[in-house]
Amino acid sequence: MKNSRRIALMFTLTSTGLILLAAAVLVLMVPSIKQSARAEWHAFTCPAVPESRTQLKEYVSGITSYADPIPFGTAENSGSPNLHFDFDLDLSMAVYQTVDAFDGPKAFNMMRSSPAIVRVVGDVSDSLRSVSVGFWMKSTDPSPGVRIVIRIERPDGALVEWNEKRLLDPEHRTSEWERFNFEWLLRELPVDSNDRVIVFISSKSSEPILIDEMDIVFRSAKPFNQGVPHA
Amino acid sequence: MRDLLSFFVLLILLGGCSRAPVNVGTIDAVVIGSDVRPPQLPIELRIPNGLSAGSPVSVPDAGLPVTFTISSANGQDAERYRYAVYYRNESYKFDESGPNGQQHPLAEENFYGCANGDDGAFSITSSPIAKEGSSVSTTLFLHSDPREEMPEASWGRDPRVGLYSMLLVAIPESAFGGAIPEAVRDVRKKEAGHFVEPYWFWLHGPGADLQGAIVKKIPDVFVLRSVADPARGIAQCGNTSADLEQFFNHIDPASRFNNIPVVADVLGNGFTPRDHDSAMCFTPTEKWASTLPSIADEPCKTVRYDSVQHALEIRNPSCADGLLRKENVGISTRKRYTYGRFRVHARLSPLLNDSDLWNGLTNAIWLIGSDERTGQRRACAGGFRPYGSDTSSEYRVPYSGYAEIDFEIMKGMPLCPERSFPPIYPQQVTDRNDPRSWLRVLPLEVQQQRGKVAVACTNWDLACPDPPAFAIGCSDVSMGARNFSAHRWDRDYRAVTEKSMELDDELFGPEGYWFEIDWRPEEIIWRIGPSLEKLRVVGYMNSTMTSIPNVPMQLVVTQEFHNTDWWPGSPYAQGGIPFPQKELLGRVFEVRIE
Repeated sequence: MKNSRRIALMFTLTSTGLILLAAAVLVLMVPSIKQSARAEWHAFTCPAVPESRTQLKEYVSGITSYADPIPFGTAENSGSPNLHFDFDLDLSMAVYQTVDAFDGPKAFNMMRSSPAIVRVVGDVSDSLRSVSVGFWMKSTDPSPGVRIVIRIERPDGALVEWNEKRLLDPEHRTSEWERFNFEWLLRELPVDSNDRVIVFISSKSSEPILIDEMDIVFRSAKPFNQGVPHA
Repeated sequence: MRDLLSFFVLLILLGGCSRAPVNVGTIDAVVIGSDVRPPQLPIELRIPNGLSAGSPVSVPDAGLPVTFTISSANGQDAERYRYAVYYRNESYKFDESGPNGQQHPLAEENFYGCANGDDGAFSITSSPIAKEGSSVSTTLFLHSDPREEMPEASWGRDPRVGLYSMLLVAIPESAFGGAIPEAVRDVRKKEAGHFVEPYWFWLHGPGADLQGAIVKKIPDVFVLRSVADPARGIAQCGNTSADLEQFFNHIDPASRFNNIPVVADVLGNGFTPRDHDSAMCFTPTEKWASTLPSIADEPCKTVRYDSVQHALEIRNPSCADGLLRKENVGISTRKRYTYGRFRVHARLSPLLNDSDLWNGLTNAIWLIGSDERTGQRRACAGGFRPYGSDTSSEYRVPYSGYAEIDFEIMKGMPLCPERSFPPIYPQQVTDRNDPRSWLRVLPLEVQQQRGKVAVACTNWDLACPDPPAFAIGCSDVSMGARNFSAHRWDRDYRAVTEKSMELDDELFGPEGYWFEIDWRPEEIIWRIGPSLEKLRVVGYMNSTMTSIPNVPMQLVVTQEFHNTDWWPGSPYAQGGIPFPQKELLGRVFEVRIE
């Protein structure tokens, strides 16, 4: 390599390095930029929502019905703030199910990810305060990497916020049924009644995870008056 | 800083002195107490009853005679001897020696003192030691603030309870001279800003190698206890010689909550979970009673001595008079103590009725210290989060006078493991025609705790991050082969808590139960049991994971109504529990600190 090329390359690398360094310093040292970068990174890392998800049918009357995906169910459900899935329905797609259950005849045999449950905030809550998700699970993997993911998005799909809880390996009991709960307290989060709450489970394990008796609760500030329509 | 450096340099120099074997005399024929009828050791001593918080302690009244014989090495020295009698609390101390044989950095916190000599700790024999040895005698008083650190509040350095040893030292007059630092000759003095722990100096430090020095340690010489006598009544109720006083909780205005406007006898099964769920769901907004837990408007209305039961009674008043209130009640010791096994035998109010509904009470046996006059906690390099009486507006401060160690017992749920917390309770739906919509089915893990209450063991370390295993979330701490799960909400949270689930009927049954907080310099152990012989450990923490307080605290027993926002995971909200139709009675039978 000629000297001039070498110098040009070194100049380019050095200046790129300096620019990157300056950017890093800016991100680390300026609180507003740091905060903004953190928020961007947080949004960027939101796990992709599984394609299999609840189908929403909105009627002229303003009522929405929900068809939850297998193995959660197939029947149309109204918007109850308390969802319970026992995975005991006799489904033809047996690949999702196992007879090794925590309670009842069957459990959900999850590979990598569950389908997503979707609800419109105003259908299941009046001033949504928190979203809780919990289930019994069993895994032979000592490090199953199970996550409960909750995402809130606008009707057009824009992310409002997301949150997750990871099962910590030291707390995991291999090959035993164990309860895994997550409560996301929304606090000051600006949630609109038309926003969507999306819930799913994921795992990094190559082995199936057994899931049973799953609950999703949408908590309002007060007892929920389901008869009152939302905007 | 320079003082500290020179102190450690001095210690290193002193500690590094050669330790050639020396030919020394003996101390023997030691008699502690009366020489007519020498008592069995350890001699039982008690902190006198009836002392107010600000009264210094001095025991025994007439002092403790100590006599011993000094003999020279060859019986022919014909020299006068200097001698000293030190004492030290052994139950609650740091080891005197640290790494490399130097004085342990915290050993100067140990409680020690000495008999008054002619020259600080030392007296001199009236004549040369006789060939057959010479008997010397002195009188020892165990008293507050032996190092005279707090002349305005000597009671802030009251003698610690527990076992004491004695250290007898004798040294030929010719060897005494300048070989003994001023801070050893006089325990009130400091060397480079620090006290020199005499046991370290004489047993492991330079004194151990001092030519001709005779040193004899006598373990378990006496044991100091404090036994609060309930029969002496309550201090504010005209009993000036009482050991206990009525305790008035600080009420945090932020603990206000809305309560259902219902008065019921929960413990008498006048209210059930169904009633709770119904009231929570269908009580109109305007009917809720805005409630702030209260305290008695005057002393002695809610506490008294019951001479038949031989117990102090504490009573959360009923609302039979039509006044909707949830009033806290409690008692405390008048004296403060630094370390000890704080033991309470009590029959506090049961918390659950037959349908497992909670009456809203939190029964607490706890220690609190927040008196700036008695000094501040050992400095925290990472900073304490200010609390209680701390007035600092700083985010973190190096010093704080606040300390608290708790037993709090309520209808709650374990915080650990984190994966299963919190339990998921159903959202109520206001459909009167469908009871399934508003009548909650409690989660399985909550149902499995039927009849049980949560015993929360908490140390308020003010979020000091100095301990090497300081952690947030759940983390295990080992006591022998046993693990306890400690939980801290976040890095700034001022307290760390362990919970265990215990039967309500057992803890608050008619025979009463023992509760013990064993507060030591480097660990805290919480025990409960039906008798002192059957105590079991329900909580354990140590200085590797939490800052252990070192300031005096008083013992408190209370029955309190807490806002359940303090207890996430509880199956019942305080606001859904009726106001008490009948008073809630607790009895305290015995209080011992030992």
